[in-house]
Amino acid sequence: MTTTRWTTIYLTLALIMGAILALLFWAVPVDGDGVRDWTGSLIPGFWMAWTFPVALFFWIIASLLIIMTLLAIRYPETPRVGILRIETTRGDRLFISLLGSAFINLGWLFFFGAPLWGALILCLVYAFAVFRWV
Amino acid sequence: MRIRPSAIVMTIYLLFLLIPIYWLINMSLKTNTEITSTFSLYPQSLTLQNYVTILTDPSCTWAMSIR
Amino acid sequence: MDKTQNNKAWFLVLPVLLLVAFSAVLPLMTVVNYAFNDTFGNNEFFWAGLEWFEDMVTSDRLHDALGRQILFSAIILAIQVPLGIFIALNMPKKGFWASLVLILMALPLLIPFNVVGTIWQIFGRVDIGLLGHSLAAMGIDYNYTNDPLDAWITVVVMDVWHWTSLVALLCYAGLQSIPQAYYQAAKIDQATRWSVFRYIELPKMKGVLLIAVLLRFMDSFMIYTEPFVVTGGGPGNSTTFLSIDLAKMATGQFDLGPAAAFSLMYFCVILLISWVFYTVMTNLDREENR
Repeated sequence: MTTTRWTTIYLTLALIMGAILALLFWAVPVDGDGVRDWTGSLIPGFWMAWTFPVALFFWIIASLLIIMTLLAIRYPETPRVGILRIETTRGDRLFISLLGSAFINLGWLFFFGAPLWGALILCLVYAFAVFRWV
Repeated sequence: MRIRPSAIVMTIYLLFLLIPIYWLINMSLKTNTEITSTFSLYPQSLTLQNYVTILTDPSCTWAMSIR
Repeated sequence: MDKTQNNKAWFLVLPVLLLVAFSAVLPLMTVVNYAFNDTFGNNEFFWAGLEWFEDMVTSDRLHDALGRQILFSAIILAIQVPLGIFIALNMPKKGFWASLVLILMALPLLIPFNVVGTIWQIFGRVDIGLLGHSLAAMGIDYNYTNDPLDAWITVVVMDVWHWTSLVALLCYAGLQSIPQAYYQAAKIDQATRWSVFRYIELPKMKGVLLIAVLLRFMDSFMIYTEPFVVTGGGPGNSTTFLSIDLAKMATGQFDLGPAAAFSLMYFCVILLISWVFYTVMTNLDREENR
């Protein structure tokens, strides 16, 4: 078997995901003054009226999964024991980060209300901590 | 003969499990008037009419789609 | 690294992936979309942003339902786990009686949830139910349609009736796997009944017990059908648990946006609990194998 051409795979996947993101940007409806309506329906008349923020959310989740899959194939790892005294792999840590972020956001909504930018920063810090120490 | 305590425990527990089921079967064998008018531990006038009804009445068989 | 690799078998997973996509991922995506939009049906949607989530995290109604739910699960676990262990210890070990008891105990587990609700709905009624009638005859004022406490007792007893056997059967399986030699050794050491339980039976049951606790917690946390059939969430809101409240919101009032936000939060809580239990269980296994 020939050596796997990782660069080609990376580029192809990045191109596909980038193209999807560009498509989403392009589909955001623009009103008469050229102002983008970020919460407008991406495909007018289509079932469920999907909007850009929701689509972006799924795009980020999909991208994370793709990155994790590539990492798992290219750099196989052994689980490690962190400060929680439990064995975790990269996938476990991603799961803990995402689920924890959901609760951080809900907590922020409860204590401070919208908008959630502060919560987002807190989530990034939390995710970094989880990947570094858990 | 000495009765073992575990037998007593199991009897009580099984009675607890079975009495509600018995009551359901009991009700199914009574007529509607008997259910509403008198309170009896077993069917005074045993009837299978309820089963006939549920298997033939169109409004009941519709739910089971057997007809 | 020159080993031949053939990854074509991965394509065999494709049908399952498609099935999961349509049965789990797509519905979940629609729920997410509902949670961020306002709709009156007719495929008309208006962007609501975080409004529903804000409404839900600060809603007293949801806090009350969550409180009731946690209380219910706690009561259920506090009764069913010790009772299940106690029953398992008293079950006959072999022979005709063992088989008979096993079959009879499995009966409630085989009954559809709806029917369990109906059984207890009838059984507890003061006019025609044996339980309600007997209690009334004894002079106890019992009426689960009026009194919140009575309604709670009925729902809890019903769940105990329905699921204690599961805990007992799991523990029984754990007990059966203990070799007779352990008991003989305990007898030689003149161990008391309590120390036999504490140092032989309980450690051997730990694995199955954890599974039982997990199952019972998850099931009681998501309970819907049985209390709904018996009390319909009443009297008032006293037995409205999370999923009953959710169904009221989504199908009764057609508040799809808030209901979607609510179910996503519910989903996150369930995910968290399952993850905690899963982690604890796998770590227990690891320690045992060490």
